Amino acid sequence: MPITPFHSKSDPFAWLASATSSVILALEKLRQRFVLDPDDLDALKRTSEKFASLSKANALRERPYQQQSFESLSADVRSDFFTLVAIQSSLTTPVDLPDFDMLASRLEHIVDQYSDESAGASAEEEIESTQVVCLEFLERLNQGRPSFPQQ
Amino acid sequence: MPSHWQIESVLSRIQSIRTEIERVAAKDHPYAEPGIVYSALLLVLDRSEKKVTQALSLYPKNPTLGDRATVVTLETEDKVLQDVAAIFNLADRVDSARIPFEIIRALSWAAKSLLQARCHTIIRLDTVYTYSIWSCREKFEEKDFGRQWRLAVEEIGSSIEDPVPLLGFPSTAAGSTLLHAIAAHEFAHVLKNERKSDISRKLDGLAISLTTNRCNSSADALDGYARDTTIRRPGVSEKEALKLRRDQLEDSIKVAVRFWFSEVFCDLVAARLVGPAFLAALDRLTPTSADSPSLTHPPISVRRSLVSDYLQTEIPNLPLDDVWQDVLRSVTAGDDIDLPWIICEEVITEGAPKISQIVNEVIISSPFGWVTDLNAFLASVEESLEYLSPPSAGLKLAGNVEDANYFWLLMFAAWRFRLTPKKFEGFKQTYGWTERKAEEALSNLLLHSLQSIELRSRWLEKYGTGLLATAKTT
Repeated sequence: MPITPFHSKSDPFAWLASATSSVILALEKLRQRFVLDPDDLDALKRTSEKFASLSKANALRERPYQQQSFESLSADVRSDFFTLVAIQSSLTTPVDLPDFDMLASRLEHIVDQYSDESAGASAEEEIESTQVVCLEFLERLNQGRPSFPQQ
Repeated sequence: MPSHWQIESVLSRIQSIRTEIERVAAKDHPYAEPGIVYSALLLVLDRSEKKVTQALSLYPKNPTLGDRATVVTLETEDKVLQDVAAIFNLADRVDSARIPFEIIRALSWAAKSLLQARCHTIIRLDTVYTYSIWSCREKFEEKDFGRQWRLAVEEIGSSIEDPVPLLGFPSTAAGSTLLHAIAAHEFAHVLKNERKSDISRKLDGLAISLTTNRCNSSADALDGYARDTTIRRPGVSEKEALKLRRDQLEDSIKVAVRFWFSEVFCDLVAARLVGPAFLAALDRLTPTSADSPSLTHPPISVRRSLVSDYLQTEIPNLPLDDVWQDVLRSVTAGDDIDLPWIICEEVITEGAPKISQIVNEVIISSPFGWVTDLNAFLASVEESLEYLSPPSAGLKLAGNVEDANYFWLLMFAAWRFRLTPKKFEGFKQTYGWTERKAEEALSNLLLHSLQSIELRSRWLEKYGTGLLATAKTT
C-alpha cells in the first residue's frame, strides 16, 4: 500500500471472479463427463469454502454487530464481510446476491460425488442449475469491476 | 458468442505478455526473488491459456449456456491479464543501475526483526511519486494466483511463508537514503497483514463497531445526505434508489474507515520506531496545498495530529524540540468536507487511543526507550556526521535482532541533523556544499552506517566476538 493516496480503483472481486470462472468450466467438464484435473478440483473446493464464508459474512450484515462478536470471526469471514460491503457499494441498481450457503453445499456435494467412486455421478440437473447461478453471479461481478485494475 | 477476432486478441495478449516476462526473466538479476514473481506470472498465463482453450472447446457443445459462458470466461481472463500486466509492471524495473542496491540488505534486516520472518526485499523504481510496499505473496493470493505463487516459491526451494516485500520508491529520489524512514510505515502494513489473526482482527472489530455506532447516531443526517445525493436510474423506484444510496453511504464509510484504521496503525508503528522522521520523509512526497481525505487515506492534517498525540503520550522521552515543529504542525484541514468524511474523521479520532494500545502490544519496546542515553547517542551521531564519519563506527552491537533498533535510531538522528538549521547550515558551509549536495552526503553517510551495522550484526550473530578478535589478531 502506498503511503500517499492513490487513484487506482481497487478490485475486491478479482479472486472471486477468477475462481467462479474456473468453477463454471469445471462444471461444464462434469456435465460433458470429462475427467477433472487438479486445478478443477482445487477451484471447486476453494470456491465452495469461499461461498460458505460469504454466506456467514452475509448473515452478519443482516444483524447488528459488536466489536467482540466481529473479532471472534475467522479472518476469512471478516475479509469476506468487507468484500460484500465493497460489492454493495459498487452497485448502481439494487440486486439480490445469490444464496451462498446453497451454492457452497451444492459444490461440496458435487465434489464429494465426484471423489467417491462408489457414489454415482452428480445429476446433470444439479450441475446445470449450479452453473447457471455461478454464471449469473460472475456476470454481475464483472459488471461491477473496474475496467483497468491497477496496483 | 465472441467473434473469432476477440478470441484471437485475448490469446495474442497472453502470448505477448508471456514473451515480455520471459525476456525480462532471462536477464541477470542481482538477487533471486524477482525470479519467483516472473515464474509465478508465467504459471498464471499458462492457466489462462488453458482456461480459454478449454472454454472454446467445451462451451460450444452447451446449447443453453455456452455463448454466455464463453463471453464471461473471456471477460474474466481479460481482467486476469490486466492484473498480470499490473503485477509485472511492479517487478519489471528491479535491475535498474539507478537502484541503490546497497540499502536492500539493511532494509531486509530491519524488516526481519520487525516481522520475525525472512524478508528478502525487492526494490523497484516507481514512476509515481510515492513510496510503497506490497507483499508479493499477498498480492498473488488476493488475485487468485496463490497456487502459482506457491509453485514458483517451491521451485527455488524457498519458504512459502515468506512475504517477499516489493518496495517501490520514486525514480527521481533513488539516491535519497533519508526517504527510507517511510519503510517504518510500510513494513507495518506487511506486519499487520502477516499477523492477520491478531492485528487485523482487533483493527477490523474496532473499526466496524465504532463506525456502526457513529452511523446510528448520525442516522438523520445520513438520511438527509442520501436524499440530496441520490441519482435515480431507469427502472428503479425512488424508494429503492434512496435505500440503495443510504446503504451505499454506510458501506462506503465502513470501507474507508477500515483503510484509515490501517493507515493510522502504520503511522503509529512508524512513530514508535522512527519518531516524526517518517513524516519529514512523507513531506517530500506530498504537495503542501492538498489536504483532502480519500477512500484509502485520512487527511495529512489528521495523521500528523494523531502521530503528535501518540508521541507525546507514549514516547515522552523523545526530544520533540523545535526541530520537529514544522513536521508535526497540523496544516489546516479543508473547510468543504462532505458528511461521510466528517463521520470517518470522527471515528478515526475516537478510535486512535485504542489503535495506540494495539501498536504498543505489537511493538513492545520502542528504539527510543531501548537506547540507554538517547541524548548522548544523538550527540555522538551528530558529531560523527559533522566530521563526515559514518556514525555507526562507535555503536556497540550485540549480534541479535535488537541491533536493528539502530537502523531506526540512525534514521531519526540523520533526519534530526538535517532539520536542525544550525547544524545543517554549518555542515554545508564547512564543506562548501549546496543544500542538495549536503543532503546527498548525509544520505551517503547514513547508507554506509546502515550497511555497516547490518554486516557487523550478522557477523556477530554467526561468529560471535571470539572470531572477530581472532581475525583482528591475525
